[in-house]
Amino acid sequence: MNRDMQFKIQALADGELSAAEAREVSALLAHDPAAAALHAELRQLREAMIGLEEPRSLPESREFFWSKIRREIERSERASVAASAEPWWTAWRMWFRPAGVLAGVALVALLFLLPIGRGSGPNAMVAAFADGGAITFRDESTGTTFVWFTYPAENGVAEAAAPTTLTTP
Amino acid sequence: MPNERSYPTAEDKALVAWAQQGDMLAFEELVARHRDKIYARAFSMMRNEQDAIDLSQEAWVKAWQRLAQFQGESSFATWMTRITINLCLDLLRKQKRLRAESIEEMNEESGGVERQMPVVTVNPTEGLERTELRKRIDAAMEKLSYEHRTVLVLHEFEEMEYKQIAKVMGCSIGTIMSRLFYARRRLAALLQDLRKEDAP
Repeated sequence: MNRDMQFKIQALADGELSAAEAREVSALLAHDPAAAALHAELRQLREAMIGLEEPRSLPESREFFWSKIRREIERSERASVAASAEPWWTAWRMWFRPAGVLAGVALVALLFLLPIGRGSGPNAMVAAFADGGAITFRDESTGTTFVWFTYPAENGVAEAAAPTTLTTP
Repeated sequence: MPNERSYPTAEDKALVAWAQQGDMLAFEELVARHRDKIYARAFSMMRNEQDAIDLSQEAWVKAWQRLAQFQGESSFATWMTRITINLCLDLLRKQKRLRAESIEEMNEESGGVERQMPVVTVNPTEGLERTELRKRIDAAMEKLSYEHRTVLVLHEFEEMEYKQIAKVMGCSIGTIMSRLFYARRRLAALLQDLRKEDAP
């Protein structure tokens, strides 16, 4: 008996099959003891549960339970009145703040990126030494060259991995 | 005139109509009448007293807010129960997202286990007094996963059809049939175990 047939047997017990399907499944039950046993199990359980839900009482007094409901109703109604009394533009506040933050970040980024007040042409050069162990950065506007050694010196000529600043007039 | 209204003797229909006009005393009477039923439904799904109290309270507040939408297509009690069920399902879904799924639960979801379970040939409910049977069913349902308990509650106690259950639980009819099938077989096995414990 495959899964589909098991579900059909259940649907028969629940009255969820069409008339044609119900006849088909009922015919199977007449010839298949396993199917008939399954149908009996499902039907007995279903019948046993009719009207047999455990009754329960709310474990709070009428007055206390009602007082909580009333308080919450009144609170939500006050909140609703307050919200409807606000100016129309306050609903957009939630967008103003993040938009303002984004605008500020964009402005700062522009100030750093734009070559404001500097001469034309390249004002910075980044180069690497042939051995690939150091990086230089040249700022033409201030005439300053930074050299960054990426590894500690072996012969003591350069100090360990620290930037060296060379300033030329 | 509100002063002439007899709330304790009025029918639900009248109380709802008064409450829809803003009469909170009428709504209080509705709460008093149906609070146990709503709490019981919430408890049957949540199996936690505090969750059930909180959810039933929330259901009543929502009912007040949506009272204008109630047109009497069903009884007030049924309408309230639906609100409660939806709130329970929302909380159960939220809890499920926070909870790691056990291997047993995954097996239940895939539906592979129930095919291997032997059919319970002796009716586990036969010969039991209704009170005793009710307690045993309740104890057995406590041991089911929330998906299987929920589908049993909605089908057996709320008498909802497969497609209605599928709609409120947000899954396919096939999934509902699978969960219901497994839940029942597991329930039968649990009741059988309880019966064996009692045997001399």
